[in-house]
Amino acid sequence: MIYKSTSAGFSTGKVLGIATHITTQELIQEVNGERIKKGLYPLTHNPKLEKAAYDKAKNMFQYNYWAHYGPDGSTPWDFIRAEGYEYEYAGENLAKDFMFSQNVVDAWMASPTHRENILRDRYTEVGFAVVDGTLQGLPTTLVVQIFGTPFLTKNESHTKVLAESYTPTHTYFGYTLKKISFNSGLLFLVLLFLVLIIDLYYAYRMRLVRITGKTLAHALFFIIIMTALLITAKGTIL
Amino acid sequence: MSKKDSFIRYIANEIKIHIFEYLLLTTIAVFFVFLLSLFKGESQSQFIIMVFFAITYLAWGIIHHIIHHTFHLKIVIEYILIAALGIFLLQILLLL
Repeated sequence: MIYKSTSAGFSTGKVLGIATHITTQELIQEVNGERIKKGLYPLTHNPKLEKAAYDKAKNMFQYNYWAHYGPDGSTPWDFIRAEGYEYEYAGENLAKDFMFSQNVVDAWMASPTHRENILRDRYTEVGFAVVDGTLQGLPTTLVVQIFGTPFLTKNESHTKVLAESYTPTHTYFGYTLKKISFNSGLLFLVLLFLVLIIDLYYAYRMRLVRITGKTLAHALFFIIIMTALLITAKGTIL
Repeated sequence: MSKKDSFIRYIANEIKIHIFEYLLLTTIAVFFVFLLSLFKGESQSQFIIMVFFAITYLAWGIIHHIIHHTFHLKIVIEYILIAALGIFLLQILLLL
């Protein structure tokens, strides 16, 4: 969702998704990585926007909703203004049910409206919040991303970004213990599948007569488990 | 004909002989994946769906072997272990 304070128009778009290991540091690095690829300025972290994002996430848990607008009529801009952030442009992206930071950003990049928000050159600052809670009776991790361009200080801010804030060296390598565990689990499933196929091949080659189950069915079963794993690990887009 | 080709033919032939059973298993699997995506984000519902799929797979195996007169306790244990391993991996990986 984007909003320009000087115009009445705004557009909407949301990525709504279980985060089990998402950090704001990784999110900002991923988002800035996408912006840099497109030759855009990286966004700087703003504590006020971060607090606004946190309050928005808390509000969604408190009033049990999953939307840009609250049931009480509250808008994302209310949370930004409440922190004393005077913006010229502002935008919001939401996500839930994702396992990793990279998946969140990938899902946003796959959605035209969210992608537009991330790659909007007018934005100079960003704030993220990753908050755990219970939403609609289910344990959920919400990710709220709020973009902003401070009112009247856009050029100043850009200069500041270029001059001070951006360090092009990535210190984050994209592999956490959880991610490694998840990938090893997938690898284990693939190995199990291969073992079944090799077993089937040698049983065929050696013309073995065995009292066993259907190896082919077991292989199919593991393919389905792998597919299910990939489906459930991915968040949802609303 | 190479050994690889004849192995593929062997698998194709195996599927052809038991086409109805494999089609049934594939249909159940597709339905399972569809249900999982339908209940995306609802971990409790997804766990119940996984358990149902594992039980269905076990039932499929038992019925298949009864029909083909190859039913044996060892086979039942094999299917139980495979189904349990599937649920265990899926659940453990998702709860990490």
